[in-house]
Amino acid sequence: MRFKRSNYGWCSLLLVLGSGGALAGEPAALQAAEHRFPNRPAEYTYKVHCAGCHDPGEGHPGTMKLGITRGKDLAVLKGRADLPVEYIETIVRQGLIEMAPFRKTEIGDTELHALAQWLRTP
Amino acid sequence: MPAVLPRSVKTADFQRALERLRKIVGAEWLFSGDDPKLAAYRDDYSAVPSDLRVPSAAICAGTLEEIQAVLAVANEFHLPLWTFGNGKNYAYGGPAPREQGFLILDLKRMNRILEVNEELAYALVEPGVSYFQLHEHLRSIGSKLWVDCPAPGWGGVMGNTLEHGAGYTPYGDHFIMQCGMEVVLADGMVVRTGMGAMPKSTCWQLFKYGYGPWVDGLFTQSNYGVVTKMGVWLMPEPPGYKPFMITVPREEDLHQLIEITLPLKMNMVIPNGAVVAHALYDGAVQVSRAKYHTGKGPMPESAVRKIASDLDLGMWNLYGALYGLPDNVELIWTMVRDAYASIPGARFFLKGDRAGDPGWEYREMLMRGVPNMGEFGLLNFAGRGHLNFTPIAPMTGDDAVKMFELGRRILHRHGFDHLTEFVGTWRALINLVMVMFDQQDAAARKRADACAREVILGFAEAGYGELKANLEYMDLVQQTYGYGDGAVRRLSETIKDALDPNGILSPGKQGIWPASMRKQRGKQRA
Repeated sequence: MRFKRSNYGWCSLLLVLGSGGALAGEPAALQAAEHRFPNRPAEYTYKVHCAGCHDPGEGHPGTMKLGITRGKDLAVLKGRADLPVEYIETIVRQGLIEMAPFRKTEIGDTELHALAQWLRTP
Repeated sequence: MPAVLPRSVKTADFQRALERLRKIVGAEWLFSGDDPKLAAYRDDYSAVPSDLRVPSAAICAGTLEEIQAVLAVANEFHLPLWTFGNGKNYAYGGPAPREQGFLILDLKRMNRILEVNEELAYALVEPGVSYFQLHEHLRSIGSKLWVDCPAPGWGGVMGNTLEHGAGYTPYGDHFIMQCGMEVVLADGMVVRTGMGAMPKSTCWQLFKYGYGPWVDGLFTQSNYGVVTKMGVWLMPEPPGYKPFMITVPREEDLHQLIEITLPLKMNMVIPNGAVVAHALYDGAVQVSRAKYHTGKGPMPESAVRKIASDLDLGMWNLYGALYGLPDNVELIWTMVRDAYASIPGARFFLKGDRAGDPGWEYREMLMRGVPNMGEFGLLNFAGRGHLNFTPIAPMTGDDAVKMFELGRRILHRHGFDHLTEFVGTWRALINLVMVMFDQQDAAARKRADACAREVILGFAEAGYGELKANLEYMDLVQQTYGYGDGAVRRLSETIKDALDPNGILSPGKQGIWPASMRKQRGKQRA
């Protein structure tokens, strides 16, 4: 049985149990590579705020709803060049049907503009 | 000119206060009057029409110092501030205030993950950090630590913990896994709790208690301070993980299912927040109601059975997982499987058995702490309006059946489907009862409101208290905790008056009102 060194909590347990396989030593200091609000790239903004509902595939309520109301071809938001930037910005700020509005503290104005443009690209 | 004002604050004073507040946070971060940005602080999911719970302004503080300065102005002008970190707690109130005209203190901008300690397995976060954000951060730095998230992952780590929220890994009781806080009191004093009170502390996020009374609980489900930092323990990814689903064919199997689960939960054989979901709850995540029933009133049992059959669900569906050393996990699974196999018709599903089933997939992700929005598929079922109730009962078969029958009786009487699931803690059952309705239909909203009140009182009468409730019902729930002529509430309000004499922090939260506003208790809308 092999355990990864970075799996630290379990390494410690194994050392106690004497099962072997664990490596001693300090875990590497993990450096934050965080994107900071309100200057996050569109892809990241999408990932933490939109993907949960709008990614392709089943299990995404926004995609599911759009599939019902607009049909399968328009169900996924990414690549929807038919949606004007201003329309996307308005819907994000005001919400639509099941979708709750997103405040300026959640997605900054500049981030929202970048997100709307990014969504339109394939 | 503001559209609405807080009670007992004069227009001129309000305008003067706003000028001062604007200077503190910057004009860009204060919304008031007819600013369209204020519209996003509405709650369009509750039974109360959203334009009856509109804030007078939103103040978006970005630092601890800004919060202190905002509190000083609020004290001077007696401004009621309704505080949140993410504002995504829909079903319970969302970002909207308890009362028309309260000011919002929106802390979402304070969204830094201040520390991740891989070796000691914890994070220190600010109020605005969401589960999605923390999860992404951990993955981006190559961490092997898990978050534990509630079913919709868009909420906040701090807010969910402070509201006694729950998740689905072995770290599912979020407040148990909290360690150390930084809190700003109404007078601006900054308190660090537990070991954090020591200037040279090495264990703020490692040991909960410090010296003297442990006060962290005072800042949960309360209005005694503004929490600005919180430690959260993170689970190291285990070498072995085995998620499973067990279905049983009959509604009456609930009794045996819970009886078998109790010792497995109590002895931590099943260590995670195991869920027992009714077929209609699981079905509603995936299907549109109209496809199965278009008539009035609750969905008939035949339609529920059809959904269960179409989706290959049992009438009850248990989701759990085992964690640890791979050999141990396999050994324990044999025992768990044999225990549940005593229920006639029980079926067992493991990873890979339900590929492509979105219901299984989002729950499986939750059991290893991967945030998602899968459960929000519920809102596609019958309309976005929803109120959630979470009465607590002993984890026995008798209690589970009693709760199920009671909930069904009340919801059906008001014409609603009975969407329900049980979540097992160590000894108690949380029964999630969901009232779903078309929020745009005024008559349905009214029915939902009446139903909600009956759920709270009906379950309380049976001895089952609510864990939380939409802020419209906070006074009502508080009443049900009325032992000793409301002794707990009176104690809470004594503390409230001592810590916040001007009553500026979230008045009425959990039914705790400051002295100046106590006459508003229990006031119902026309």
